[in-house]
Amino acid sequence: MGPMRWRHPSRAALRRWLQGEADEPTDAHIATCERCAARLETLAGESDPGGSIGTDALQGVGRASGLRAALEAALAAPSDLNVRLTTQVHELQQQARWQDVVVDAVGGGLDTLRLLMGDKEDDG
Amino acid sequence: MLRARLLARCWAVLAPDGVPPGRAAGRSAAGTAAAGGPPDDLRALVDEHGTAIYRYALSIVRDPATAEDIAQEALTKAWLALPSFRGESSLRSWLLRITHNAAMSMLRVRRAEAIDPDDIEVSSGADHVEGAVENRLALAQFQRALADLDELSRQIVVLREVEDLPYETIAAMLRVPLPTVKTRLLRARRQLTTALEGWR
Repeated sequence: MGPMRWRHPSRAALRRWLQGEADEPTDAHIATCERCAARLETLAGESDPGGSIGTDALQGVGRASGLRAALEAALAAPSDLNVRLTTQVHELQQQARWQDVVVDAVGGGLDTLRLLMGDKEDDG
Repeated sequence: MLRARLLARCWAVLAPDGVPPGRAAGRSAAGTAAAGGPPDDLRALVDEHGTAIYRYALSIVRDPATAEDIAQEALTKAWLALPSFRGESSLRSWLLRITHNAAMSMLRVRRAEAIDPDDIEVSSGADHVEGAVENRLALAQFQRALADLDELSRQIVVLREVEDLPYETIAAMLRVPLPTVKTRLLRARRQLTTALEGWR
């Protein structure tokens, strides 16, 4: 009476998953199974003989640039982003340093007070 | 003694180069800035990585204004932590990891405030690129397909396709098994490529 045997999803299930259909058991299995990752790659290659989708097919020179260009356009940054970011980061850093000065000043005041109180106790 | 220390701190703040703690030693003349502006090293860091950081943040939060806030936070943290960067990974992947953490914190706050990222206008980023893209409808369609991906798949596809990070680095950065990276990427590419058909 051992645990239920761990089974790989069927080819049809993998194909459905590849097409974006939600299937939690398949999803959970694929997340950690190297063998099914390889099977999926084969399946993707079969439906995309040009090799524009498969993972390893895209590792080399022939990688599809269309998707990259589309992603860059879809996630494009405003043209003045870097100037704004530089200024904002610099200002935040300056503010933090002023805060350090204030903390030091307050801390120094407390130290002085403690010192004075200590002196008074010594005198007494 | 205390007065001297305070004066030194004030001078450090007023000094024109705005060098983060620990970076003053060994700094080259080229790393300093003129007239109290941002130091050249900071400008160089932002110029080289700012866009990638923003893009990755946008892929997670899907709101340009929030993505910029995250980019700012990530760069501030990175700038301060730069002296401790040991070069065990590439600078870009180190920065993207900081961005990832900043974005995740932001999402946690959002979720606590019960604001669903799905409610955010997905096409708002298109305003920045309308001059560069021939067909705005096709771009909007692609953006919708990107938004339809789950959060993890979106991150994976951007880190791999745009940032060219190795699968192993992505897996380590996102703390997911390697097969998850490969399979999510496979499916994301498939879905996005389908959305691209209208673009061509």
